[in-house]
Amino acid sequence: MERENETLDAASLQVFGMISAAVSHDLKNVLAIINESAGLLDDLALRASKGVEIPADRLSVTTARILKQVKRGDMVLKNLNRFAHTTDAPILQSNAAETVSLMVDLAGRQAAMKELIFTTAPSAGLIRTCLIYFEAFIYLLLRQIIETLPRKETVEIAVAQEGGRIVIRFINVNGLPLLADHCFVQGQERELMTWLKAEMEAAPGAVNVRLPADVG
Amino acid sequence: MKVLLVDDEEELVVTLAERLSLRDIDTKWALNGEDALRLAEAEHFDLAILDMKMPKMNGLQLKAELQKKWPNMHFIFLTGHGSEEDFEAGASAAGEDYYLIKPVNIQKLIAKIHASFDAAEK
Repeated sequence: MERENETLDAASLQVFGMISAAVSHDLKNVLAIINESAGLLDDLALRASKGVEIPADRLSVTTARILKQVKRGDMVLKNLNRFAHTTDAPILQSNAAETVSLMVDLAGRQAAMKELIFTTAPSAGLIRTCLIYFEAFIYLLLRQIIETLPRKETVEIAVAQEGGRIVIRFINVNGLPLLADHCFVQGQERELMTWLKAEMEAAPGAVNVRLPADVG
Repeated sequence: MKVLLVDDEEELVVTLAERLSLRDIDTKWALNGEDALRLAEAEHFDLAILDMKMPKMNGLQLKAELQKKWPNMHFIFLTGHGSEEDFEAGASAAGEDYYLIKPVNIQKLIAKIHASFDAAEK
């Protein structure tokens, strides 16, 4: 299938920009915490040099905080790196559930701002498609869910292979009305969906997205 | 001087509050606007340092709520925005004079705190 499509490439680039902005915000916070922690150690060192006794646990708590943020930053960059390699080839094969989970992680900051929880589970189904289009589609769906759901909701995302199709179920006990009404699916998103041969259907308390496991 | 520090990054507020306290600036912290308003009801604060992007209530909304009840309170904003130009444009549109980009330089922050009170005295 022909991958060249200016509208879809523009949509993917837009998603890339949204994700880069969220990641840079996350990294700014990581750096801010490391900066304050290093500064605090410096403050305490200055006090110690003036003869003030500094309890050892005050130092170890601060160094642990720095190490925790280094791990957090590393995870953020690993996710960004995985996403960046999505464009290594026009068509790629990937574990569908892992790809959805990656997009959930990348949308984590926006979800946290609304205190929403997304749960995902491992699944063996593979998808062979233009991965950046698939990821852009999932990311835009997630952003739509984040924007339209009330605060403190939980959305379970279940990915399964059914015959030659991948089925992604977005489940919320109170329903996903706007998604179910297909309000989301217009313009670039509609074109992404068409290219991916994806179908969306509403079910009680859920929205199911079905698309071919192999775009051919 | 009593300072209220509000940011949804807990480790940031804990550490920054400790650093300010080491400089004899009495600092209390909250992780969101609702908790900040509760703290402000319980004790007097001279100045609030607010993160721009927070769940429930952003920094500008929180400032508006605090100002309604405590019109003399001073404000400084923090942001994690990547571009200083972008933030300056946004902050200037919002009419904010005191803002800093994360990671914050503590000397700059303290200078802003003092400048805020100096400006009010003039």
